[in-house]
Amino acid sequence: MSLLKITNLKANINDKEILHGLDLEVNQGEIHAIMGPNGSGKSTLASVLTGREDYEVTDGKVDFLNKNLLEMSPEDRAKEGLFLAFQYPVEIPGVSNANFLKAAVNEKRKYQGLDPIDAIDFLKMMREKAKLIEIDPSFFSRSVNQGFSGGEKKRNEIFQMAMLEPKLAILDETDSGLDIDALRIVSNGVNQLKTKDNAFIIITHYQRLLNYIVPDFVHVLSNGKIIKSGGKELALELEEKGYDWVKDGTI
Amino acid sequence: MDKNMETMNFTDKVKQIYLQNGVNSDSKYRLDARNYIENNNLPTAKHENWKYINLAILNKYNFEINNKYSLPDGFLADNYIVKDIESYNIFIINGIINYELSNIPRDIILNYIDNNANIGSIDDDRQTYFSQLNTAIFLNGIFIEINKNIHLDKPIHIIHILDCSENESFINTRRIFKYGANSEATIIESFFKFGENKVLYNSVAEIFIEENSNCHHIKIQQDKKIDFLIDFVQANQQKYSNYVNFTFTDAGKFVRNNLNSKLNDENIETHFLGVFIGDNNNLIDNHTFVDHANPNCFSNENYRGILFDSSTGIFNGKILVRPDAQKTNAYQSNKNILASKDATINTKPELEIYADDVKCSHGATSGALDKSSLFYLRARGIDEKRAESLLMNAFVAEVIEELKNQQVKDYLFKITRNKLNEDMHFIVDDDIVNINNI
Repeated sequence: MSLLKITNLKANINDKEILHGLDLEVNQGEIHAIMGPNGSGKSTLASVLTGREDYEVTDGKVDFLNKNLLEMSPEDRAKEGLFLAFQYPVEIPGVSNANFLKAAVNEKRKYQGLDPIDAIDFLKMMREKAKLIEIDPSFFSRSVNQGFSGGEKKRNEIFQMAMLEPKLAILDETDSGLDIDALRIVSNGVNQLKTKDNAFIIITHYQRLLNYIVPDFVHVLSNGKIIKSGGKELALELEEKGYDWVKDGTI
Repeated sequence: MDKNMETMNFTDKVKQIYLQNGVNSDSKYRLDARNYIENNNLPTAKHENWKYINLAILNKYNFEINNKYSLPDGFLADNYIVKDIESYNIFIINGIINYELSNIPRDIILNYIDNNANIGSIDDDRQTYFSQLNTAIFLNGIFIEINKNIHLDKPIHIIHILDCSENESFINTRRIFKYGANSEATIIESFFKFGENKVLYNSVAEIFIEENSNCHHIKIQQDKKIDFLIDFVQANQQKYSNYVNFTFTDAGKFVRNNLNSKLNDENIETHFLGVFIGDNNNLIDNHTFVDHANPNCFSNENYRGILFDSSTGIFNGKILVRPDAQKTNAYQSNKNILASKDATINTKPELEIYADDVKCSHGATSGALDKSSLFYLRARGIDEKRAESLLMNAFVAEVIEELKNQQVKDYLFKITRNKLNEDMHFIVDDDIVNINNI
C-alpha cells in the first residue's frame, strides 16, 4: 500500500525555489535512500514534509495515507505517523526525555482515541526501547539533548522513533557526525524497527550508512529534482563515480 | 478619617497623617527614618530606582493605617496552609502574630517586635522611600530566632494575612530573622489579602545569618488580589554562612521586591533565585543587590521572567565588589520570555567591581520562545499550545531546580504548572529508579 505519494512538489524558502517539481512514491515495507550533493534540496524535502513554517509550498501535492499532508499541522503529521529524525536535534533544557516522550506518546494515543499510557507501562516501554538503541536508563531523567554529544543526539532521535513507532520515518543525515560504533547502533535500531507495514526514507550524503541499512531504492536528488532512481547498487556506483556522473549522464 | 484626606496626595498623607501613627521610640535609627520621611516625597519616575513606575497611582486611594489583629469574619486559616509542604505555620494578621492559629517549633524563639527591637542593618544608600517609611512608622512585626546548632526538621511557613475587610488599608510589617551559629532552617513566606478594599503592604525584613549557618528563604507572592505589595529584604551574612533567597511572583497590580545581602566576612555563599510571571497590565519589579565586602565569597543570581498581555517586568541586579573583596566569584543571569507583543521587560545588570582578582559574569536575554524548540516538540506530535506551555515550564523549572527542599520544589512546580496551563504529570527521578527493579 502507498504510504507517501509526492507529485510535482515545488517549494521556496525566502522566495527562492529549492524544490523544482519532485516526484516520489514510498510504499509500506520499503526503504528509500535519497542521496545528493550539498544544496540539492535533501533537507528542504525533509522540512517541507514535516511542515516547517519557513518553507512555502508553491505547487504539487503530497498524499500521506491518502490524506493531504500539506494541509496538516506539524503535530498532526506526527500523530498520523510521520517522523523526522532531525539533522540537528534541538536541546531543550528543563524538559526531561521521559517527560517529553510521555507527552508525545500520549498526544498520539489521544489522537487515536486511546487512553493515556499508564506510568509503569510507559517506563517499561522506555526500558525496552532503550536496550534496542543501547541507551542507559539514567538518560531518561536528563533534559532533552542537553549536553549530549553529536552521536548521543542522533541516538536519541532513533530512540524517539522507537517510542513513537511511526509509519514513515525520515532520517535526515542521521549518519553525519557518527563514529563507527554509533553508526552500528543506530543502524541496528532501524533494522530492528523495520516491519512490513512501515517505511523509511534515509537522506544521506554518503554511501557508508547504506552498508548497514540496505535500501530497496536509491534516488539521486540534484537541483531540487530526483534525476535518477535505481536499486541499492546505484549507491555504490555513486560512491565510485561521484555525483557529476549522474548529472552528466542525464542532463 | 481626616476630612481633608480625600484631596491630599500620598506624600501629604504620609507626613500629616501616617507619621502620627508612628511609634514613640528612642531608637535613633527610627528617628532618622522619620526625619527622612519628613524631608522627602514619594519618588517619581525621575528617581533612577523608580523610573519605570508610576507611584502617583497611590494618590488615588485613601489608605488608612491598619493594625487590626482580630480575625475577620469568615476567615478560614485552612485555606492558606500549603498541604503539600510539611511545615510549622505561623499566621500574622496585619503584621501581628496569631498564636492560636500557629504551630511553633521548639528550638526557636518567636516574638512580637517591640518598639526598640534591634533593627538598623540597612545601609543608608540601600534604603528606599518605603523602607524608610516602614522604619519610621511600623508598629507590628515578627521576630524569629533559630537557636544555634539547630537544624530545623521542617520549614517555617509565615502566612501574611493582609486584612483590608474594613477599609483601604496601609499595613507596615517588620520582620527580624536571626540564625544562630551552625543553624539551618527554611523560612517560607506567603502573602494573602482578605477583604475587598484596596491594600498597600509595605514590609521589611532584616535577616542575621551567623557563622556557618544556612538560611533558605522562600517568598511566594501569588495572591493576585493584592493591590500593592512592596517588600524589602536585607540579609547580613557572617563567615561560612549560606543565604538562599527564592522569590516567586505572580501577583496583583504592583509588586516591588528589594533584595540585598551584605557579605560581612569571608567564605560566604549567596544565592538569589527568582521566577516572575506577569499578566494583564500588572507590574513586577525586582531590585537586587549583592554587596561583596570581603574576599573569597561566592554569589549566584538567577532570575527568570515570563510576561504575558501588557504586563511589565523590571529586573535590576547590582553586584558590588569592594576593593578588599579579592577572589570573589559573582554570577548573575536574567532571562525573560515576552509572551505578548504588548509586554515589556526592563532588565539592567549593574556590576561595580573595585577588586582585580575576581570572576564575575552577567547575562540578560529577552525574547519570544525559541522557534526551533517549538518546532521540535510539534514535530513529535505535541500541540503548539502545549509545546509552548511545556517550554515555559521548563524555562522556570530550571531556577526552581536549584532549590534543595523537595516538597518546596514540587509545590513551586505545581503552582507554575497551573499558572502556565501545563497538565502533564511530572515524572520524578524516583519513578525512574523504581523501574530498574521491575
